[in-house]
Amino acid sequence: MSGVLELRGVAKDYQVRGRTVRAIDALNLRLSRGDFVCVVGASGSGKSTLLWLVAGLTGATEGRITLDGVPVTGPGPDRGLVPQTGTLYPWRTVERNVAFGLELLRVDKTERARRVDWYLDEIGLAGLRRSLPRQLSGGQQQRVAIARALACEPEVLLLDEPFGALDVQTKEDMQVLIRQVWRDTGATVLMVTHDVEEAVFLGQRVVVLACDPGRMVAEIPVPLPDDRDLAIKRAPTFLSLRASIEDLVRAQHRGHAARDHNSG
Amino acid sequence: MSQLAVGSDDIMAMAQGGAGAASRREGWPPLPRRPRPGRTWPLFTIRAPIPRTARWTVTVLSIAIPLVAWVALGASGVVSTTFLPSPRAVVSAGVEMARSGVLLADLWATFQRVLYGFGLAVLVSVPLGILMGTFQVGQAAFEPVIGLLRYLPASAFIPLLIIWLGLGEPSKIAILFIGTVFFNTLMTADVVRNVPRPLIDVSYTLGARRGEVLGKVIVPHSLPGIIDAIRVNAAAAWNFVVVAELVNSTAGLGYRIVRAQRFLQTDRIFAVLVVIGVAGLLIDVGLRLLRSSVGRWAA
Repeated sequence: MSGVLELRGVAKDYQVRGRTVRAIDALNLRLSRGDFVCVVGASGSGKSTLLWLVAGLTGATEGRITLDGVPVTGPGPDRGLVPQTGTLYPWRTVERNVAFGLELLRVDKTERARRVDWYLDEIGLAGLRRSLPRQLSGGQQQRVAIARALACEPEVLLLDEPFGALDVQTKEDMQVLIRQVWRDTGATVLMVTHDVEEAVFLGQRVVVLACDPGRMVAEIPVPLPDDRDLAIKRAPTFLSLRASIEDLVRAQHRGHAARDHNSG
Repeated sequence: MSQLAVGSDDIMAMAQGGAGAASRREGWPPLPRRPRPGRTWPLFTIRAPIPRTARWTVTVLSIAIPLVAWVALGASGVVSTTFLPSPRAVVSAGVEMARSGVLLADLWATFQRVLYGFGLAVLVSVPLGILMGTFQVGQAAFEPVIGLLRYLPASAFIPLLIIWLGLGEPSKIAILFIGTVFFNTLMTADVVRNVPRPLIDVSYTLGARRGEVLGKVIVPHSLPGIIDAIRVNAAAAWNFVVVAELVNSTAGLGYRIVRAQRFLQTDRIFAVLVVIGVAGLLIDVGLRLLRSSVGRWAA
């Protein structure tokens, strides 16, 4: 299968009060069409930076990011982004939020309506199409944000802790929903999360990042069937995989903490 | 604390666990206690809603008490009616001016000046504010100058503007313009700068180009705030217009006040003041309605 998204030797430096801080270092990653890859790491591992780089909202200091072989130079609708919270247009109704990208493409009204209908059905919010974002719950808002990104039919869907601000029950509903959407649309998904359970449940592969700077520590295939429901979270394979990845994340975090103490 | 510098005492303390840590708290004096606060009066509980009847009573009293005081002061004869006309005299002076048509003509003359002067200020300040709030280069170019200019009192420009533009309408409109344009620009820029960054970022990933981000995201998000700024500065415009009219004019509410002063007609001055207040309030209510219909999403 062809690599849709490829990161080779990617590094990113930030300037913090005149000091150069490396957020991400020597990162290699490859996603094929239809992949669902989750990136986990403690805070400070540059997870979000990684997505912002792929989205083209910030430039890499070193290395190359390519989409279908073409270098990423800026943001575009081929890489839809869903941040953690609050990025719906508050003055637009649900359906007009979902239609935003289609309006920019000047898709005609009937075609637009047909597509918006499909996505609203898919996320189960057809009944709230004329509501404003402030009238929706946090979970509903995130569903709209996902539908809005998908309506542009992106090559890669970038999810930046999209369920991080939701309560546990809503979060699990959303996990089931995103897997269903993934299978129905055949989208390629790159998702960042700090929740290892979520990463194992959703991903076909889990990438673990170290802290400060974010380097890839491991890329772990998830040997679970593509057809998963929430019950699988109690299966022994799931639990042991989750535990070993959690240990890995924790070890990176500990290492980071100890280094902090020694230099302090 | 450095992990490398852990001393043997510390290790002992850690080995003893909670007991060691607890013993180190033994010498602490007890925290001072404060008596429980007494009950607060319900009307003065912070942010607490008050009963409807209480609210209306307070509002009615706030208007009735000054009015009664005014009547009483006049009736008692402590203050001469030349200085403080009775409410009835003010009303009849107002009615008389309204009948003769001067009041409406003055109101219209004043309103027109506000429309031109402040309208022009809005036309300049809103685009300029959007420019300053959106592009750092716009901010760098205009903020220092405007930040300085806004502290220059508009009334201080009156002599200069009369020299430049003469005694007619242009100088009055210019005063209004100078008095409001800088504030409205800076307030608009602030509103625009408060458009959340993630909203702009996401728009780019949905395919929006720079101009589309500006027109379809930044402007609609800022619109209610821009109207708020206009509302605040409309009040200022209403102030400046009267100031402008105090100097050499032939019509307008400010002119009417000056004229009444010349003949010691304080009842007329009071009547005109009431008209100014009511007209300002009506404009405010109008802009408030506009704001709440445009900004329904933000409520």
